[in-house]
Amino acid sequence: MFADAVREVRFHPGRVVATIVAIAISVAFMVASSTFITTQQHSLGKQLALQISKADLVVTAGDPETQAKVAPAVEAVPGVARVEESIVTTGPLRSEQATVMAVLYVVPSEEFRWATVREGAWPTTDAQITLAKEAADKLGVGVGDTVTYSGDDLVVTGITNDPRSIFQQTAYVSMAWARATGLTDQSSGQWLVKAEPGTDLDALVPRLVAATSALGAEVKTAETYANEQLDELTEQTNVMKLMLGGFAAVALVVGMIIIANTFTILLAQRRRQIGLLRAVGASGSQVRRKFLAEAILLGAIGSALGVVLGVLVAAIGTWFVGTLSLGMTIPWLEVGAEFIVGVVITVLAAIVPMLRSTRVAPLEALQPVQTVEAARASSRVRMVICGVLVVAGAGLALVSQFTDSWPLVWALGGAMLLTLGVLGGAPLYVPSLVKAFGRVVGLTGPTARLATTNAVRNPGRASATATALMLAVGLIVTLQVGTATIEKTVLAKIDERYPVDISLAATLDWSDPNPSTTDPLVLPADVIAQGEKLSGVTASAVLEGTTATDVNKMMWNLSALTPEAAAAAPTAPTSIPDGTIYIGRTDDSSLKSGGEIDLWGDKGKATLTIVHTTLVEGQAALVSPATLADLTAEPVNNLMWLKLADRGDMASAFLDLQTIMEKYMTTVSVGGGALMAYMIERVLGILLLITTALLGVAVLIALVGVSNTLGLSVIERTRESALLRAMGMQKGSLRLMLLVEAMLLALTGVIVGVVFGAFFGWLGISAVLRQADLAESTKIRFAIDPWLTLALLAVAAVAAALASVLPGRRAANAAPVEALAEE
Amino acid sequence: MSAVQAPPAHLAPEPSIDVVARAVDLVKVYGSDKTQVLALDRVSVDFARGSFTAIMGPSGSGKSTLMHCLAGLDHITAGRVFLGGQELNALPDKALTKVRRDQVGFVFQSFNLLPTLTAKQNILLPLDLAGRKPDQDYFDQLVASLGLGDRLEHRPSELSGGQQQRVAVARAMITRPDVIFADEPTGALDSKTSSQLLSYLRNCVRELGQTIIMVTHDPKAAGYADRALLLLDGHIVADLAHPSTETLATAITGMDS
Ligand SMILES: Nc1ncnc2c1ncn2[C@@H]1O[C@H](COP(=O)(O)OP(=O)(O)O)[C@@H](O)[C@H]1O
Ligand SMILES: [Mg+2]
Repeated sequence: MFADAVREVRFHPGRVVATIVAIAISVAFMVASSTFITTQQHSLGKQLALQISKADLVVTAGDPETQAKVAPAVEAVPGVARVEESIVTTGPLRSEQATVMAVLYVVPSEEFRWATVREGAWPTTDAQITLAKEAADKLGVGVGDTVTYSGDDLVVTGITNDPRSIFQQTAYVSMAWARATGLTDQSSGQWLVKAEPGTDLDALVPRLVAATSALGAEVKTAETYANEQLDELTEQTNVMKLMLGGFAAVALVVGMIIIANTFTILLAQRRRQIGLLRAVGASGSQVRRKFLAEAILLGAIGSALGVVLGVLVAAIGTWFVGTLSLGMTIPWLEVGAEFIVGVVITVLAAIVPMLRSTRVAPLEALQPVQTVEAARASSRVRMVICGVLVVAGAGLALVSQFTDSWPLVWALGGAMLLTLGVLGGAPLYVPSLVKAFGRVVGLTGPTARLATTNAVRNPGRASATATALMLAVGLIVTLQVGTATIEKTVLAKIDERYPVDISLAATLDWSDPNPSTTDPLVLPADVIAQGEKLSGVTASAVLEGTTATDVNKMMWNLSALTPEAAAAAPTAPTSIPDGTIYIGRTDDSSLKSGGEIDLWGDKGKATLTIVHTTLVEGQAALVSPATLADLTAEPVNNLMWLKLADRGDMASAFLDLQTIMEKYMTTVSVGGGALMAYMIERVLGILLLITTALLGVAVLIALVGVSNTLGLSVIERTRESALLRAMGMQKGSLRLMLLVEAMLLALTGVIVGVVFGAFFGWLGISAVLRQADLAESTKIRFAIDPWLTLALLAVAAVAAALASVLPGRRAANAAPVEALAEE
Repeated sequence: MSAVQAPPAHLAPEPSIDVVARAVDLVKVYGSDKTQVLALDRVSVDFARGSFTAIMGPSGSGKSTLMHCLAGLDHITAGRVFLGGQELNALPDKALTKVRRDQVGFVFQSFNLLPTLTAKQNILLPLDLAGRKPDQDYFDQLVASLGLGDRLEHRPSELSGGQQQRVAVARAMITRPDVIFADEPTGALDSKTSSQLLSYLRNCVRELGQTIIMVTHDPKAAGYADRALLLLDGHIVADLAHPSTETLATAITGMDS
């Protein structure tokens, strides 16, 4: 039965191309995401396993009491050549140019080293460090330069050939450094073991276990240890797989709509063939088996292409994030399952149209179209079912806006029913919508009018095509409106809460293990200079202050508010009464507004009345210049406020600000409403971009569907096209006709999608806020990103135009004589 | 059999004002290389304005091909074709399409109408494509004479075969074309409906001066015409003026054997 199917596909490849593409894209999506994530997991695992890659066994022990005895006990076991504790720490490494987060390994002895120095040498003294190539590049240093770690200057003695790292940079320090900094005071709890050459590791493990079990140690071969770490990692990152799976499911559903639609059209075109088969005595099931074979074949071809495409995309992604050098890991089991999913959804999508068309009586199949009564009856049933769904969905949505118990659940249920009703009821309203749009474009001439009548001549086809787009676009718009609404709502809150646009505050160096609690914190002059130069800054103020401690020895970073400073924060009071301290809002009952606090500065003590403000946060506080003078004789610059011309326009200032943040990662804290708003906008923007890109795959499939519907329809309309050509229609007009047809279908889908997406987005956010009991305190500000929405419309229009190219060509090339040819 | 050969090309008269369509040494070859079919072999013929010509001949003799070439529906292999004073074989596709739209009307055996349009829309389609406003009086007159007044809002699937052909005739007439080409227009109709349609066509020629070239293999249909061309294997083998059904029937039977 497959020979027949192969023949059908080979003779009419054009008819099934769209189906294959739709399946391929859906499967490629799944394969790409699972391959990419698995590859990343393995790369990360390989990187984690790097430091044990030259060891045979790994011993771990967590009990500080016995840790000192582990190494001697291991060394005493016959077969062990060498045992070494692996010592490692992490923290920020700083150069003149940048600060990076780094993992510092104490250089292991020769036999355990996984990297070699490509330039210079390993560190030997406590003032030396060796960097991986990438770390050196990021810091902008070379051999002989100096980097700072936690206040210590270290000279770079060498550059290693470590592979590119995924998160933290790699650096090596000497044992002398580890001793000097006190890193060796506590055991790391991990020892690497090298066995004598030729030793059976599996036999060695029990001997080691016997020797160390009393010490609470665990012994594993290096391989087992690495695998276990990988498993742990996999478990953590599988959430991502699950999330991507959700997006893949959307692509699959859209793909199924397209495939079902294709089969409906193909089978409609082969009605006569089916009728003839039935008339000459083929049973319904024989006919069905024939089409089933075709569906399986198409599914298999599409899925196979999808696997290839998916692996390719994953490879490109891996190359893009820079870990391709660590190799690709293809999860064959998952890929196999995804291949099967591709075939199964094809068959599932094909089954309904298949049953519908093969159930018909032979004579009926020979008639050209469905009878009017049958069409009416089925549309009446649809109207009732979808009407009920829509009414029930709207009801639930309404309830979600008033109920106090689980509004989110009500909203979700409502959205679900509404979606089903709206998508399912598409044949009831899509033709009218297309006609309405068509009436507008029809004013341009007969070509557009013909296009409109053509677009709706098969209401089912037009609806299914538009439905796929509605679903994909609707989801994007739901997320987009949700995001935009959250953004606008949160930004409004930020504006209320943070009167200062950008603040730069001196903070306690968190990378310094023993910070001085008496020296006042100073904002570096360099920072002040750069802050003034930031683009978009219209006013800046540097506040003087000092550090003071309270009864609990808590440090407070005080700054004096002057009228000049207040100018940089328009909503701030111009002055603070003497004897008053402004601190950030806090729940600490000893720091209630109106209460008192005693502070000791280097000059003396002051008792201050507490006032809560939104101007500062945490341990920062504002006082009057006179109060500051009571506490210190030598105030320092410790806070800077910047006012931007436009708070919403941070983009140009941000790059420079980021340089400051990176360079003074540990000593300057950057904040303020503009920064928070910008960060939130950026994070939400990126999230939206990613989700849009992921859902874009579904849109792509839906647009393939538009091309497919047109392509298949044009095949049936060859004689009509020829007739139009004979009547004197120009080739260009025929192409235009197909273009308008594509536009009408695409825009109908997109517009319905946008409308419902916007509604669902708003519904979701308002329900979430009600669910979180924030509805009263937060005014929802509905927002829709006009550019993104216009971009969606533009993409749909352009893609629809592209989708119409091939069908249009086919229609235009219909020879006029064909209209006269008898069958 | 009195086969009257058409005059050789170099002897043919210059196109006069009365000649509305003409073929000179028209050759049409289908296919290429081994599967070549010579459908028309140096055919030369003139059609006078206001004449009703029937093209007859056995199946495969080249009737449809001749009509397609004359109407600018198909490219010719060699020779020349004139229509309404223009040489068609020299025209690019765009101009040729325009000729079909403005100067030619078609009535095919079946599948004449666009299924998505109403009868009225189908009739007005050529004008619509040309962006021209219909002459309301002429339209009303046409519709009334063809008895389509109460069928204008119907779609083709709701019309009988005879009605569909009458809509096609109305559509062919609406642009007042130089020539109406009809390929077996009655092929799918019963005899009563056929004769009604053919009488109508003859009236158009007699009363409105319309030129009609009709392909048919039915001697009865050809009997309505005032000239009959007999085709055999791509040659015109007879050119009969005012043929009677009987003469035609005999001539055809002679050729078939
Ligand atoms: N598109 C075509 N390709 C190849 N041969 C054709 C084509 N159309 C017609 N022919 C051949 O040309 C000859 C004349 O055909 P046609 O003009 O259709 O004849 P008639 O209309 O008299 O039956 C026939 O032999 C036919 O097979
Ligand atoms: Mg013919």
